[in-house]
Amino acid sequence: MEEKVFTVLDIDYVDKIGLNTIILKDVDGNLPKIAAGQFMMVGMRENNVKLLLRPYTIAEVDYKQSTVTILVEIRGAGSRRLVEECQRIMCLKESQRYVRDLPNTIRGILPLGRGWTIKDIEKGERILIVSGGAGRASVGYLREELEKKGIETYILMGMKGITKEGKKIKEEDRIYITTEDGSLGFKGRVTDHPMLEGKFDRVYACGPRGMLRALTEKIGRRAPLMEVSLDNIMLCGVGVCLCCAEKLTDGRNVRVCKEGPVFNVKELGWI
Amino acid sequence: MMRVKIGGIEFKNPVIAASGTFGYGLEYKELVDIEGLGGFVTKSITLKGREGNGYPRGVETEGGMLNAVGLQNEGVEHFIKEIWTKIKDCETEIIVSIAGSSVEEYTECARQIGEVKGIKGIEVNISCPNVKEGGMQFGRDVKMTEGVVKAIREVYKKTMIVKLSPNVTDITEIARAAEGGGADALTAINTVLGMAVDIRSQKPKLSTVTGGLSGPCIKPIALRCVWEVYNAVKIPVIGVGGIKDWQDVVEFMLAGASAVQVGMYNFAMPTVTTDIASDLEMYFTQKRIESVSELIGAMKMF
Repeated sequence: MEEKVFTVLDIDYVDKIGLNTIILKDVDGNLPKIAAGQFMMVGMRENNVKLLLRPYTIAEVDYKQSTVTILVEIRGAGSRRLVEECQRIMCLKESQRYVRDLPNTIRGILPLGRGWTIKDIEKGERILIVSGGAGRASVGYLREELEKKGIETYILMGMKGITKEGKKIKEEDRIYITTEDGSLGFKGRVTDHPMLEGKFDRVYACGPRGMLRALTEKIGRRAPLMEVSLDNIMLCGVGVCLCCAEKLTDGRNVRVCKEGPVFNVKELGWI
Repeated sequence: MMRVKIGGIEFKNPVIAASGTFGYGLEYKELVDIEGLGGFVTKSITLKGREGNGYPRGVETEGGMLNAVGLQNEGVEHFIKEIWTKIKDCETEIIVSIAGSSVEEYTECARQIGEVKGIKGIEVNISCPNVKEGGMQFGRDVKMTEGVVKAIREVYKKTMIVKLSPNVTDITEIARAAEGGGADALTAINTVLGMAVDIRSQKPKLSTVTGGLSGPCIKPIALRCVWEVYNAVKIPVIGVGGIKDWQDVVEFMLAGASAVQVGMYNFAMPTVTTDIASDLEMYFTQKRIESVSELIGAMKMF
């Protein structure tokens, strides 16, 4: 892990699914190797409202451009400030008027945590990636890494609903979508989708706890391997504060930021 | 110029990372140049391992954070065998924080630490607000403070620092009790009791309901405590609570701190301690301050 300085390359703040897509460019241009499922802590140069950095799954990586993409859902003052700050930096860049003495960069610590177990996948395995809400951040990079290895994936993404601006997301081959309001794809919850009746060798899932639990009941117990990515509240992100603790079936409290965020469902007592 | 001596330990500069916010020094190795630090205090160690409290254990609040970790650690034996061997060659001073739920636990833990060659000092945590037994109970009572400090003093001969709680009616009487018990120095303050409620779920944001508040929002409280303690005892005071930059350090020193600890801000900016140390050196050079002692308690009264 290392601390790096990023400039904002792009921010798509009209993703009406509620996620702001932010592309951050590493100023030094030498991104460390990032595994699918790892995350980064993101913070501002100056921020007097909320001081701590925030964890975001690294949704895409482009080593050539030295960029990482994060999807930011506005949940409170911290994420709102981050999105506003990225917008401000973008506006300044577009007008080519940097304001002196104002910080025009974003801080990031990456890569953090343990990513998805994908090394030992064999060709021909049936892989399912499921996301709920902001868990969508976990889908893209994982799929890309698997396809690089020549492994086909099935994707199932659940969301509340989309509006016109959310058109970028659509059902394609092997990509299925559920919306609670029926505005796209299958109407209902992600765990209601008929494709879950199928047989899969591995299931990777990221989303709210309720969804992860229901999904494990539905399909996880049948699949030889199911992993989930957790989003426990993190304060430091690097394994120091011990606030993101998750109790495993063996009784140990482990750090989601260090020993996770990806866990085998068999390790988790609540599933 | 920046050197400061507390008990038998000479720190190269007065900036120390606070207990619980720097792990065991290993976690930040890749992000912080540890040799730039005056020192660090380890996460508190108890005689036997503890699993800590349930999740959620921490939440950010306005200008600070609440935590209720509950002294999770793997026990003193594990520390000595597995952790100390990995950190003992760090180019900085390491103070081992100890905690317990009974006098015997404190003394046994201190005795075992005392037998380890190379560990120069301990910080006795009698002010943890997040455990059901012990912890802050000791630090809230004059007799219990004096009792536990005295008992540890009997078995531990190296530098002993006692960390005080702000959650008391009069911090000076606890400070005097610790001094009377034989402490070499005092750290003020541990976290301030607080709580936060999620208005959507209408549940508390911590599994323990209340927890310890830290960060810049508690700085004025910490500063007041340091000043009161400084005026009440003769031993050195280490100031901690909401420090984020060199100006804060100067402020704590003027109020009476001989050295400082940085806590929550390590999370916000991992390099904060070494940044402060180099900024402080620049300030000392510019102001032609030759020794830290010129600042300690130098606040002018109108």
